[in-house]
Amino acid sequence: MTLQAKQWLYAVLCIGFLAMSLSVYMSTENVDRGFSLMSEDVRAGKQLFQDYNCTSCHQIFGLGGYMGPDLTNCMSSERGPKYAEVMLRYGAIPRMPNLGLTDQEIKELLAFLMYIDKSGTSPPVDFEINSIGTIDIKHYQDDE
Amino acid sequence: MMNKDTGINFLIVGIGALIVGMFYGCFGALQHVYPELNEYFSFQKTRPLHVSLVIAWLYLGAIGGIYYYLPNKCGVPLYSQLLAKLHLWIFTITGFVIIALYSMGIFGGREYWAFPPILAIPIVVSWGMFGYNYIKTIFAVKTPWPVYFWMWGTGILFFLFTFLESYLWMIPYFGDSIVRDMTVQWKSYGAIVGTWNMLIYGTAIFLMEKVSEDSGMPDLEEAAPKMGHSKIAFLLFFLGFLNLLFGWAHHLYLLPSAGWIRHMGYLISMTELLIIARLIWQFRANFIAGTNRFHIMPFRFLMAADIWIFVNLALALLISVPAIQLYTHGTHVTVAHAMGSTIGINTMILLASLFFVVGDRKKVPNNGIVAKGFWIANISFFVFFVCLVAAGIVKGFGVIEEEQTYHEVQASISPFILVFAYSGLVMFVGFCLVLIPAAKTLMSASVTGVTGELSSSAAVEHEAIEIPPSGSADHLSGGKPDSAQ
Ligand code: HEC
Ligand code: HEM
Repeated sequence: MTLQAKQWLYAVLCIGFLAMSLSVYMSTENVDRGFSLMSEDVRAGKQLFQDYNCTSCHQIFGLGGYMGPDLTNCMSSERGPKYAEVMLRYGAIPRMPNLGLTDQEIKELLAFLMYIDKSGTSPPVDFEINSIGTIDIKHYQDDE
Repeated sequence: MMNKDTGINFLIVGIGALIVGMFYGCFGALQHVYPELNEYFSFQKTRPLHVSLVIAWLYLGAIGGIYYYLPNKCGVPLYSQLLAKLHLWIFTITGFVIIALYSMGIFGGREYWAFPPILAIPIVVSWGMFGYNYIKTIFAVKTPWPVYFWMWGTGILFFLFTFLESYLWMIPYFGDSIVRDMTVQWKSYGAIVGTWNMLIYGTAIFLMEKVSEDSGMPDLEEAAPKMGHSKIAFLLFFLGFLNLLFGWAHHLYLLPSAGWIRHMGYLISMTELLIIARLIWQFRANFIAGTNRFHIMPFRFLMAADIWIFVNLALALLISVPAIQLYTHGTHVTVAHAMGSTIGINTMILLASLFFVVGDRKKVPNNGIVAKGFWIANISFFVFFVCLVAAGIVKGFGVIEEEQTYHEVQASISPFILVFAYSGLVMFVGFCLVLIPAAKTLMSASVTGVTGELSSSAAVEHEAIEIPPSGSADHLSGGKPDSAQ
């Protein structure tokens, strides 16, 4: 492989990468799901979720730590928001710590969890497996 | 204890990060079994301490090698010793600050970089110094670059890009939509893994070349200089690069992001692993011809990496099929995949590199202990890995097929998690037996002044190792073959 060929290949890959990155950044598919819920509380809740490092124990869309349950749809589960609120207020010692959250923080975290709940489904409940190994997941009730 | 050679100091800090990081890994694993431990030091702190420290090891180990090899083994003096030293100091101090903040329960960041975002600034600044120093250093080389120069440079450049990308959430356009936010977050994390793979696989090729060069076997010595310039090595590089750029999409199969994003990069990462496995296997075939070289530490760790590549390749192939990932995503199979490759492949290669440097200092640790540690670590790691996979499969089927609750799942995986935690403890002991003698050697080398003759700016290509007339490479292992068994 000549030096020039290497340089060309390198450049092509970099340009492809930049183009792909921009397309990912600009992709609008489902990004507005739950947007009607977006509010100052949700934003604050999202930051609190990071400040208390909830991801160390919890997953969203299956991504995160494995000590506690996936929280994507905990608000619409049969346990529902009341259970979540009790969890946040008192914890479930010793597994889920009582983080000493204030009423305001609990309200914001619940708003964030409600927002997450509307953004999709995890783990998948309604899905189809295709013959080539791909899957179609129905994330939203109102999908065709 | 400070060494004159910045590369060696990076390695010493890296060993420290790995040992402390594994300690927290063990603590976190035990917390899964005995949740009461949470009351003393919550998993909320142990997990990021573990993950950030072991990832720091991967970078520190790779960077240390690069700073050491360029002047001492490639005959290319560093452009600036000062920048390298600053890099080390900024990294180390930032690391201590991060550990302190985590321990106090102060976060603010995200998975893997859970520290407050402001601390990304010193990391980026010092990385910029590293990049500048590296570019200035290798652009002084007028002959064609071996493939590992390309790989190291690419790893350095793209770390900067993807690390910054992982902070895009701070801009509301990204942060305000969880779907876009998580898509970009995992795009960047996938590529960040690609950057450390670049640095580490580059190191693997470098090592194969140098170990062959000093093997005392005429055929191999003759072939050695070509290794870093071979077609297959460059093929590996470009495939790895392709994977770094486009292969992250398998993290996102279960997210409601656009279909084209989710279907991209299905098999790219697999091909890359195949090629590196082929490379190492080839190397082994050459090297083993005639004599048993297993007592040579760098060789031994490269062989371990090679075997783990096959194991991880099998797992990665399986879980990159979306229909299978449906069951394994969000389970311990993912943890097996993550630790399987960071320990089995990355850490083994870095340990090969570490022992290459140790051998180079001509001060040799107690090989018997290191060999014991090697076996203890590898065997317990196998148990550790199998338990994670088993727990993940049980969880996946429970959740998807039987819609089990969290508590039902926890109950059914608990036996696997128990064995996982204890095998992790044994593995920790095994790795300490390997790491502590190596660290001691590196630290004493500085005290006894061995550094003098290898002062880091001197271009000492090929002269640092003398090959005994018998043609054996025992100086790399420091002992007779039998002392290592
Ligand atoms: C040390 C680990 C840990 C941390 C940190 C943690 N949790 Fe939990 N959490 C758990 C565990 C374990 C459970 C399950 C408890 C049970 O059901 O016994 C849980 C349960 C929950 C539930 C109820 C889930 C459901 O399915 O109904 C919610 C909601 C929750 N946590 C939210 C949070 C939030 C928000 C944070 C951050 C502020 C957080 N947790 C931090 C471990 C943790
Ligand atoms: C002493 C042995 C070790 C033990 C007991 C251990 C234990 C753990 C535990 C408990 C977790 C968290 C899983 C969860 O979220 O529930 C974890 C995650 C992780 N560990 Fe280790 N670990 C060890 C060694 C290592 C080493 C040496 C590396 C790499 C150099 C490593 C890399 C990782 C990574 C990357 C993750 C994140 C996984 C993910 O997000 O899926 N670990 N480890």
